[in-house]
Amino acid sequence: MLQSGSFRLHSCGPEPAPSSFEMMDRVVGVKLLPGEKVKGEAVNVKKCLWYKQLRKSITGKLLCTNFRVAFVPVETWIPQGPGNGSRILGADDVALSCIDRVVAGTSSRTKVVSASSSLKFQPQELLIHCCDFRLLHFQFEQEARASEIIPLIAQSCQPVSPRDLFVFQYSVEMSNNLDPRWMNTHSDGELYPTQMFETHLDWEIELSRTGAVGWRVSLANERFEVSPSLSKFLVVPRKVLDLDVKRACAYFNEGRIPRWHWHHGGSDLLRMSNFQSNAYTQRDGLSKLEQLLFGGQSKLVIVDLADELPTPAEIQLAYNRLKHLCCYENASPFRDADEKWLSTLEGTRWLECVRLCLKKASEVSSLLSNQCLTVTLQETDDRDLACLVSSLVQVILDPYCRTMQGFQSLIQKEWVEAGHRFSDRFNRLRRTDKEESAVFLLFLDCVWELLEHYPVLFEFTETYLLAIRDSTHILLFRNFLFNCPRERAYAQQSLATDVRVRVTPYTNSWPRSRSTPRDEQVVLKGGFFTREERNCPLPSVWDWSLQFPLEHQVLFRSALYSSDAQLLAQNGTSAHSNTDKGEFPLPRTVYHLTRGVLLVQPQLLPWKNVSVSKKLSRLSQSLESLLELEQPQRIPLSPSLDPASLPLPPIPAPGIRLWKGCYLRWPLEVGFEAAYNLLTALTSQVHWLERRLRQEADRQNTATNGLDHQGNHLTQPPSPVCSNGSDTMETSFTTMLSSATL
Amino acid sequence: MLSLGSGGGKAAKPSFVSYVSPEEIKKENINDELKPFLLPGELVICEANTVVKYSREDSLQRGFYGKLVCTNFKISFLSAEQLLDEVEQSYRNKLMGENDISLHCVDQIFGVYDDKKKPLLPGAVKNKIPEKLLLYCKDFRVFHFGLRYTKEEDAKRLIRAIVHYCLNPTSLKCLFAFSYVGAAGGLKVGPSGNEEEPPTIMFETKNDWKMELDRTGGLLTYRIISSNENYKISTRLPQFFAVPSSVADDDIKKYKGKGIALWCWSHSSGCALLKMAAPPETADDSTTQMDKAWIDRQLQVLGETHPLNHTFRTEILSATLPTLQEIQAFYSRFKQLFLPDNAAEFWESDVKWLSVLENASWLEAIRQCLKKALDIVECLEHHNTSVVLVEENCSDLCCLISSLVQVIIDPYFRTISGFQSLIQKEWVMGCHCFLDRCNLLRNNDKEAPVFLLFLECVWQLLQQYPPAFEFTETYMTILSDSMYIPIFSTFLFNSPWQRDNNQMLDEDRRMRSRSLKLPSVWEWSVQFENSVQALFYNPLYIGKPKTDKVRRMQRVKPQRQMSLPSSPSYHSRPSPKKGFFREETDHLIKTFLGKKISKWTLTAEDHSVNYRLFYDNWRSKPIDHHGLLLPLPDGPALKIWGQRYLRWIPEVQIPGGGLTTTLNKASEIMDEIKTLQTKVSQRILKRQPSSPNTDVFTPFHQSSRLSSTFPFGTLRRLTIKPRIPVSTNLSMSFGSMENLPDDEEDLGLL
Repeated sequence: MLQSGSFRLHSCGPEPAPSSFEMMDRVVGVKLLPGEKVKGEAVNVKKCLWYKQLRKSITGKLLCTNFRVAFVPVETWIPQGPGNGSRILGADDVALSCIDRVVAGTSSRTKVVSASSSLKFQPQELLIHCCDFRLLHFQFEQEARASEIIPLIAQSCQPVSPRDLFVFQYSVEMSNNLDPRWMNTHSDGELYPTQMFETHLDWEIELSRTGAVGWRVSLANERFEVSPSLSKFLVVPRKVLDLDVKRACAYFNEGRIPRWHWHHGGSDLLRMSNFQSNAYTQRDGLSKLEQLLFGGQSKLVIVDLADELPTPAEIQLAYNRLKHLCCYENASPFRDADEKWLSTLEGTRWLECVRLCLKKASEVSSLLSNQCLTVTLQETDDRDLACLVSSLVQVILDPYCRTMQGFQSLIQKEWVEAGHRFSDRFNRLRRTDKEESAVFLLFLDCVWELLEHYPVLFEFTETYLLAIRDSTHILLFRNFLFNCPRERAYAQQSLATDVRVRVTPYTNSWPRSRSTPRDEQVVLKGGFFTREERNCPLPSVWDWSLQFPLEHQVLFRSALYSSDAQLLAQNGTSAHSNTDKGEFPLPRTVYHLTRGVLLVQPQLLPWKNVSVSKKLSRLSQSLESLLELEQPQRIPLSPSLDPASLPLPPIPAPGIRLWKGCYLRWPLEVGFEAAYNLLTALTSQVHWLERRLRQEADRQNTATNGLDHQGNHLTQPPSPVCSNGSDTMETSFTTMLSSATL
Repeated sequence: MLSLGSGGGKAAKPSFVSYVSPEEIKKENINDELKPFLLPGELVICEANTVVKYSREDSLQRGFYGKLVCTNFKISFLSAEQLLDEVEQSYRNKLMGENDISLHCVDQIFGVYDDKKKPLLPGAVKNKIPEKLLLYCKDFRVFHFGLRYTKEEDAKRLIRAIVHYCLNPTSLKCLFAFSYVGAAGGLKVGPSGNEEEPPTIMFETKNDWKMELDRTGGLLTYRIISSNENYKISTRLPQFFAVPSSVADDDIKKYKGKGIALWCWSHSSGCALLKMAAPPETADDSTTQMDKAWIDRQLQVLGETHPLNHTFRTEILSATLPTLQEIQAFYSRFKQLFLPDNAAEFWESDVKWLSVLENASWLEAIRQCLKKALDIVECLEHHNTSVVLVEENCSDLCCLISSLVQVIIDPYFRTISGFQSLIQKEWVMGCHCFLDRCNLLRNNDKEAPVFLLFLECVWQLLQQYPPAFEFTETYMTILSDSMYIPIFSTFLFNSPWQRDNNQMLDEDRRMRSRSLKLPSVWEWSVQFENSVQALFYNPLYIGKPKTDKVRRMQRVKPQRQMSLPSSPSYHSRPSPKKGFFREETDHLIKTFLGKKISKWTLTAEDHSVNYRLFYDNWRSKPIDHHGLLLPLPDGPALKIWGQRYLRWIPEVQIPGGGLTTTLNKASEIMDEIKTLQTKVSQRILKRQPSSPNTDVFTPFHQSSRLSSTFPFGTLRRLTIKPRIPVSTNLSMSFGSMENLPDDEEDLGLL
């Protein structure tokens, strides 16, 4: 079993003497993060283990800091809830940013408390609805305390300005390395090195990894002139000049020009936003545009993502319904609504959203892999579903994206650097509810769906996906904090100047001064700083050691996955490359994917004749073009396209399941799958046996050499489920088996 | 077409052609050499050539030509093209091929006349020959046979025969089992699977019962009755059974065993699960009045003689569980969901899948059963109360609930041999009317899938706690399929008396020259090779349960002792036995008369709180897979038995994915461990490889060929088949667009 206190296990070097911080932690009862301060507390609070089940409760104190609301039980016996093994948050803690709603109540009335409203009654109970579907229920014995702490919590969970976010204080404090407890965690490095796509090099590596030819990394957007929301680096056809790239941005919404994102076999995946409807069309500009779009190809499929897919608003609606359904009040395991469960679930339409996304992704995947057609994803602003579909396609087709490293790089490439509006979509700052949408969570759900059906093909597990999901609720990571790379870059630059200013005068304490108005301007309005070396980056979510001890990170790796280097290299190995066709002046054709059927688009730019009925254009299609379209299929499929290694998503409703481990994890207390733990135990048994064998071989070797064998004792591999170090093979195996079932 | 393109080798063969161009086939040379594989005693009734079997994978556009044969056992489609390769061949059922349908497996027959589907019923077979013959099977296969190119008289004869043999009522003696056994003579069952496997206890001898009483620790309080030997007392009772030791022999004889509490199982704490046949509450004449008084007295006797201070609770199953008619109605509604004619129909139901599923109420029936079982488990485990299940004839829901309770509590019944013994004990010896409930003779309306409902409940448990079961869902699916193969004595009779009676008659007639015992379904080697039987074993199953006897003797308290104080309602219950039983029986009578929902002293809310505590207490401890396993009965926890219901629907198949691959991987890991272990022990002990380790776990070797429906709907073609018709459909459906809307149906929703 995981112990929350065991995180010091892996800090190298001698055990540090208890610092003043640790002393403080013992007094407070919570491991505070650097820069975290207690703002208020209430004692004699009862936490109910189940909603409206007053029989079982724990007494303790409730703390409100500038980062979390924590509950510290008085008794030493801590009930084993579904522990998340997190270093940052304890089992009973909730980050302020994760709080959805604070409700105060007495036995007779309840009221949602907001930062501005005042309580007109003496509350006895406190309900905290969390964004991760948790519901915390507290009861106060001293009502006076309750009326103090409840408004405090309500106030603190609504930050007034982004500059007040805890993460800025945290990272400054971290960079100063004041607290010895957190020093080592940061220098651990990442277990899985991730391409952040924040440098030129990462894109070059990606180009060569996928085997894409005819593309180059352009720096046209280095100062965010082409598009304010795109990354600094754009991958465009080799033949297109930076000047043309800059010119082309006028044709697209937000200047999000078509750019390369991925290569598979003989085909590329591109993304772009919708065409500007009022763009002034020049003959010359158009041909440049065509060059940009087609690259080396002669055939291009434009997939309009507005077609058939839910809009972000619809996704949010479905998500809210799902949240309502899966919340404690409604999801008690012994309710009467079980008979209606299925139809209510269907009524949320969440599964429908999942299905549609998977369906679109598998359509695009089959275009890319079976037909070797280059696909361009087009969406109005190219920042929501384009991220989702494009990353799903890559998860389906590219084995690399199913490894942990690849998956993290994928999220960096398709979401973080492509400018998914994390800040607006998660709406943790409560700026506007209109923009809120659970697009990223929908993506994680889609990936889980694939993972559920093809557990063997993924390196990571459900626990890992959950960890990513939970990380989005904590505003600590630069990946999920901002709307676009530009915002991120500026925020970190301003932070860097902050650090320099502040570190010199006060070395030991965090200055209490608020940020200067200039800083705020920088963050909010995207002011401009001179480029300088970042010496104080905000933490990255992929630095898992920040959040989880190594014992927990072992759970991220699937026991079923066999890392086969050959398998990983499969993407991009293709005998037939269409790129050389571009040398001949072939007539360029644009197809349009509608309702699962490819249609020939007579013109590239649809604003010229939108009125042409699609039916008509389909029927007027000549037979030659059809045959031509079929041609790539005749090419024998390369062995890399083994169906077994392609997780084509199940589209029919019986195949789509609800992610119970995620949505129902609190009410049902769904822990880690016992079967899965068993498998982990089995694999660690394999590792152990292999090591044992190696050791035996070594011993034999040393014995023959006449050397004395060094008695280095073999320890078992870090297994999440076994802490047993028994010597004999047989007993260790059985104990592992039995402990696996815990 | 892309999906066919890569299977090009097949497309070139003469028998695999589009039906649009029939002239390409050389009709005469296909069929001549085709001979159906006949079992002993199997006779060909009629046959027809040049029948097309449309394959579902090709959206019913293409198919294979072959011969359709109807025998007295099965309908068999034979094609010149051998579809199965070696791997698939090795997973074959020995009795039934892939294109064979047992006559009892046919559920409905339809004929398609001018694109209209009409049911074909016995006595109403038209002279006009349908273009297509649709066979819906009870194991959810759907066969489409095209008769357009068949000779008219052949087709007519064939349809008549099929309709007659599949749908007309028949008699027990006409069942194929008897001619099979008769012809096979001293039936060679073949090498029995695994000698070291613990055998299935058949509960046919006194000793079997004694062993079971001994195992569960009920030997002191219960005794075995052997006065029904040769069914002298009742034909609705097994030859041997156990009752509380206080019950007098005369009492048993009085009402042919009615009103006697029969022992099912003893809990380690001493309380027991019993069952009792009681008259229906509606009858009002004098005889039933007498019955009631009789039952009262019996219950009283039960309490008095029990050596331990146990309270008793009677549980009238019909009061809270769905009736058999309801179960049958639920199931037939549910069944329709999984029998789509074509892709279009499938996608249509797909849109509203969950709500349609809910309307079928089948999952609700499962939930009710699980809840009832949980209720009883709580009594046995937590309150140390013995439970008497009461049902009219004590052979339907009684069997279901009592066996479910035993699976939940006793880990022995989660092993293969234990599970088989349980079915023997509770269902076969419990006189479950398999013949009537499966309606094999098609002559009554008592059909109700009670046994299937039981399997469903166990399957739910299995998917919630996979490491706790020795068997896999494949085992359960195969077991459920075996119900429709009329060879096994297990599923053929209404009672052990009927079985013995029929077997004996046969024996007399043949002058006892041969042993004419019908095989039991547990003789898996009749159906499968050992390689397939390997699929029954769950690689995730943890070890073997500790030796039952020792553990049970040592344990005084139940393994999972609840630390909770018992609820106040139980404290306030009157403790003097007389009073208590008075109250209980009063209540019993009340329920008989008024059919009220049996809620004894607890209100519904109190009860759920109580149960909640019991449940949470159990949940707060780590799950012991060799202990109590409480199933989750709530909405999100219940799933569809995908392997059974969805295996033949190609749209749902997940190539290279699903649970099968996980299990495969797990067995690979197990194999690896085994080899490493042997290597290590060789190294450490410096001994030569003594015996090559032949005990290999991995039953399947080509993981690339696996799909979610393995081993049933094996992948025909090794291609990436786009689930969605993309541009490939464009050329195909250029002339006719009827295929396109299939997918559009479920799209325009959001």
